[in-house]
Amino acid sequence: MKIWTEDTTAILLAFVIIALALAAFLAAPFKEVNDSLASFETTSAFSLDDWQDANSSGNAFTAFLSDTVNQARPGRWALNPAAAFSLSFLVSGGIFLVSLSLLFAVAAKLMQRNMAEFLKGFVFIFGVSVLAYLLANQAEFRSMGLGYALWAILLGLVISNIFGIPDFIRPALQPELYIKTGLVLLGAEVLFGKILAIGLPGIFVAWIVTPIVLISTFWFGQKVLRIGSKTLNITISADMSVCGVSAAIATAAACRASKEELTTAVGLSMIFTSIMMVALPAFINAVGMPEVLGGAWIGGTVDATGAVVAAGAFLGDTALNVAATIKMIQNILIGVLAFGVAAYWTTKVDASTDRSIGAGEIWRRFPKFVLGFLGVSILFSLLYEMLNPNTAIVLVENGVLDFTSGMRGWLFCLAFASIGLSANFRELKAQFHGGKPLILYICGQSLNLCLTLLMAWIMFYKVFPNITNSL
Amino acid sequence: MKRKLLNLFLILASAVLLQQGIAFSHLRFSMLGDYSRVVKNNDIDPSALFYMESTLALAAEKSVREKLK
Repeated sequence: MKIWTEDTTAILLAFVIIALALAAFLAAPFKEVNDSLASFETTSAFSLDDWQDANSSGNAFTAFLSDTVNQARPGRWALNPAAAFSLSFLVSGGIFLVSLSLLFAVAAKLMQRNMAEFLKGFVFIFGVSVLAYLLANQAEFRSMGLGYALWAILLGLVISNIFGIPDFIRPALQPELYIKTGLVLLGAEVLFGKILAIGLPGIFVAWIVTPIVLISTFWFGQKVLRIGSKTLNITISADMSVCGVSAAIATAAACRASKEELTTAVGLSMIFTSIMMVALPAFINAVGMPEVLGGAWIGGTVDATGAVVAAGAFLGDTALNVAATIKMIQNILIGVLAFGVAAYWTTKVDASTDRSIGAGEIWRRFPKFVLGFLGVSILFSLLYEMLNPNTAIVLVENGVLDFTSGMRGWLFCLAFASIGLSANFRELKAQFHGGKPLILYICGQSLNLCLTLLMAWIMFYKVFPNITNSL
Repeated sequence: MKRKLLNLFLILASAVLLQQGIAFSHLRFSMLGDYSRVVKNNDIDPSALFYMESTLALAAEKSVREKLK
């Protein structure tokens, strides 16, 4: 049996990246950071931001890792794209390209593919990803939430469908490897302790309504709309009800949806997020809805975290705080979602054609990267909870996770560029046959809007008004 | 080749048109203009996929926890 499959290689790559980040964490003067924070915390004028400014987050190596990953992206620009390219971009971009190429070349070797051929194609895909980040950082595109995922897919589609792709790129077109590695890294950001951030109302709005909407939308897609592909149905349902693109990626990988299905879900999510992040706060303002209720409504319904923050900020500070916290709690649900979808698909959907399926076969079919994702999530959740809260913020949140989330962003961008480069317009068009995905998204989102508003009102104004007053 | 170049030109023109359309709508419609100012003044990235990518989201959680203490 082949040991180094896409899943096991993805887990290994993610663990190498996490080990690097944790080595930096362990090399940090942990005791000094802890003691320094403890002595500062006793002063009445203690501010974590001031402490971090004075102590440069406590670790030069972690800062170097994060800076290299983050500065490898072109900067922001408005009219002149050349303004996005600085000297630090060229240096960091060069170091990052070489490091990432070597890491994936080793992965290619493990998966018994030709390293040299892989490297040639990888450099091209990295170039497309840089262009995607360049477009995402244009002022107007950025303000409307048109992020790198959209541009990477579009650029890939344009290149492959207008010019065609040369053969040397094909060995590096490994969207699933990039996605699965990125998802295992995402596990580090799924910190289960955060679900209690706003108490029980947050859990009810984000963890009770969301699964109800997800299951109802999936049922609606199967029984009423009769969508031909179950994987397309669940990917759109998860992306609409949980947290947009990241949920779509996790679900699509867990149920092995096709790249065209993932592209359809991501496209729908980005279009509706751009509309909702402007329209929803405008409606809330127009009807004079209280900030806490409006914030909870936005947090539970608008797909992407960044769009939730923008929409909440439009209403005011309280709305922003509530909206972003509810969305964060919903983000954590992605761990349960990935495991639930993978388990359901392996035991029910895939097994439905073969009644004699045994435990061994279920294990063989189960997407192993989900276990890596959950393992990393549990490891980091425990680490985060064991540390003093301020030490956890300084060393884990602003240190290790700043690096891993930057890496994860790059991996998703490489994945979307690969998807665009290997998809074609005709297959993509076929996904929209009869407009069913669009109807599914609109109906599911309508249910989401109604149920979330009702639950937020009951929880924040009827059951826990004391929490609302404290906010 | 001629057709490929024409297609490329059309795509580049569409991207410029989209950017100009967004800029124009920010000026023409007050609601979009206000929204754009909020995003710019708070340095928000509306395309952030996960809470760890947004410093404002992390700050919001801390603020909520502080208030509920």
